[in-house]
Amino acid sequence: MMAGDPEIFDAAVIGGGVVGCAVLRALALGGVRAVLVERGGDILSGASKGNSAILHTGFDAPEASLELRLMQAGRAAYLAIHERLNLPLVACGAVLAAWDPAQAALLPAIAAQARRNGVDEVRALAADEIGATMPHLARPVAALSVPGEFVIDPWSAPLAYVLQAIACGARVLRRCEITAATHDGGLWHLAHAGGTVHARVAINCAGNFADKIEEFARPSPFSVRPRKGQFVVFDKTALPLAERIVLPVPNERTKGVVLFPTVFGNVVIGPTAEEQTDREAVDLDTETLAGLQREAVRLVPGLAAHPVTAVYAGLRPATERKDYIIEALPERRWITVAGIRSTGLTAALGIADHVAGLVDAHFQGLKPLVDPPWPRVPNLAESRPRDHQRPGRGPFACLCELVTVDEIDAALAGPLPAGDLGGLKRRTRAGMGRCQGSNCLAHIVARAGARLDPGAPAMRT
Amino acid sequence: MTADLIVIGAGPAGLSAAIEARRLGLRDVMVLEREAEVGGAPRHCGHGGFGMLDLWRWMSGPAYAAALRHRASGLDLRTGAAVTALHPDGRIEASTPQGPLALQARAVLVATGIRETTRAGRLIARPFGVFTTTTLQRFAMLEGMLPFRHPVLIGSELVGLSALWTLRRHGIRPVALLEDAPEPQGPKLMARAAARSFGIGLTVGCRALRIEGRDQVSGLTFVQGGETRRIACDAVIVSGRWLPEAALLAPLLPPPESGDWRSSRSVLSASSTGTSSPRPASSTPGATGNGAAPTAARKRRLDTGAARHPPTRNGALSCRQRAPCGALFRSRGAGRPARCRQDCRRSCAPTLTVSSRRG
Repeated sequence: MMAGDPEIFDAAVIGGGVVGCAVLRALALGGVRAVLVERGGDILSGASKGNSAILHTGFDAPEASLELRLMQAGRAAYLAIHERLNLPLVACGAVLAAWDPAQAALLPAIAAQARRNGVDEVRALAADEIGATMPHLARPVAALSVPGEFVIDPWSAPLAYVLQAIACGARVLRRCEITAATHDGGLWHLAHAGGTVHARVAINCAGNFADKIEEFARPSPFSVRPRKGQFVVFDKTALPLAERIVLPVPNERTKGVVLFPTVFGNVVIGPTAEEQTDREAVDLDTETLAGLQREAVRLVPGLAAHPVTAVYAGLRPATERKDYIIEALPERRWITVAGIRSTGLTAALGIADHVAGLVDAHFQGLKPLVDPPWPRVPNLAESRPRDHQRPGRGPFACLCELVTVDEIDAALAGPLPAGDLGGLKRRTRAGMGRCQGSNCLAHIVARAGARLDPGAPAMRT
Repeated sequence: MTADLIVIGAGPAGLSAAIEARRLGLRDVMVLEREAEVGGAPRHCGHGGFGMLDLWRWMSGPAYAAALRHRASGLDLRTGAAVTALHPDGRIEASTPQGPLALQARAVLVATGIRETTRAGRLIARPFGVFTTTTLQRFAMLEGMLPFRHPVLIGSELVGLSALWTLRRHGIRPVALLEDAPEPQGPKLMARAAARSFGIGLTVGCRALRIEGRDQVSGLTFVQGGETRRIACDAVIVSGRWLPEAALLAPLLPPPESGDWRSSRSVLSASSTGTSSPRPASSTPGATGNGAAPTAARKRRLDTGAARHPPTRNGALSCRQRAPCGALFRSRGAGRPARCRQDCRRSCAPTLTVSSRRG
């Protein structure tokens, strides 16, 4: 390409959440020259920064839905590739508990649906099995075992997807909000404050902004109705009390409030399901959080003795439709990927392959790379070796999570350095431990210096 | 690797205990510190009020930490070493710069200190700009920067005074000083200092509702007397409500009879004597010369399960001041235990007993 010529991509992925990251990877592996544009300071700045990190089986997903199919494809893909990308998997399993006779009456139907969904190992637990499986759980009326529900690292996984995409030639642009988009029949011209991205196909993975972005291609046939979920994270000392996922009996609208362990060793309860119109405000409120804390103690009374480490909230990009909305508009050279709600982390790789298939069918034949690189992401999970165990490591940057300065420096370097403080935390765990950065925030902000915009004007005194 | 005594934490309590243990004749004393430097919280308390009770001088926090470091020279101090597991038989697993390390101690002193309750622990949300006093002081004293101009300070415990002094030193005037309890929680000195230094009063009985701002704090909404008010600010400092840094002990201790011992202030007594009533461990680095206070040092006899132990016997450390770890700071009258104050004896003296348990 001549200097000064605008760079033309085969495909532009709008939105750097877990879905956008996975789509970018699938395209790059398919030999498509792709670019990801993300409005936030780093990937995972929107819906994907706050979820429940569960790799679902789909046992309770709507039958014959696209969501179910892609969740199961995404799950299988994750299980197939996670070792090569150094991504963790904690095969903790889940217990679906009924707390009154009315709920218990629904369990056989749930088990039957699980079998229809191809999740055969779901079965009823006898009373003594419940106690043996989860000795610290308050005694439910009845329960199902769902052994295939696992937990993964919700931030390292999409990071690994995007890093592999970059290693295969993809580009990532951050702080890049698309403000206008035009299609001239051949190319999409996506305008942002710093310039214009030119691409032959545009793929809308904009999460909570998907309907706004969709308007560039057509009057949006759907509208995003953000559903807020608040979470309470308990101290790592609580992990022995809740080493499995505890699911409630789901209702029509939501999978309900779940108690789950994380790969980092915490115990979390959430999410709530609160409809709102604002697409960005993820306000937490003390009353709701206190209610979650009480619910956790109701489920596992021993949790009363453990302090809260963190609170967070995420916005699930729900729409008025129940299923995912994934379709190609060949004449507009546009692909819509919308309404990916709480199951997006599980389904991402399946969605990505599906989208790559749409690109292949409608726009450009894929030429899969023969021997693509497999970059390994730093491990943050307790179940695998961490950097602090390496002889010769540097001093700690974060004392609670045992994050070394080497890990901080690595996260600030490489092909996709952390773009903001939140991104740095998601890449390293720094500041996510029980002191919530009390001890390390100052050092990390100072160490990162100009490499990072912490979202605040740091002032020398 | 074995040691007679392994002290976990090299703040004032841990260092003083190690120094005292050496003086009393223990030979193999090892101190494990996860930070790169020993000295603990006083390193970032850049104001006076330290050293009065043990060094008999009025010192700044950093000077006090340096004095402790000096007194501790010659001890086996391991920095950058975080204890990852503590077993009932005195085995310790640590992550050190040289790699994982397995240690065996005859006795273990857990002197891991305390931490402030964060905004998350208070179940309040934040954009960037909600800090504890610890964070404020680490920004100001250790990194030479302050990422705000107009903070609101929540909490009126003694540590609030430490925060105020830090702000004043850096020329920053808080826009408000709030306390959610109906009465001030610390000494009157705190409110007086605020009034004198900044011309602001302490507003009690206000409950923070919401911290506003997307990237950086832009305001705080709170309720006071049924009335909702908002103040513009660019940071919120939540101070105090100390918690014991006690996670290492969690697997070793029996479940609490009721409530939340790991975040309650009765942890010292709960873990040592099992008898005494809860008492606050809310002293702070700061004004009263109680420089050691943020560190809650605890000893647990690891093999017998019998944590009860008579205080101030031979080879014991003793107590002079109200804070649970205060005992470790008595230095006058070498060798002879000093008298505990009455309110201290029950809850903290047993925890401070350092015995080599030979034979």
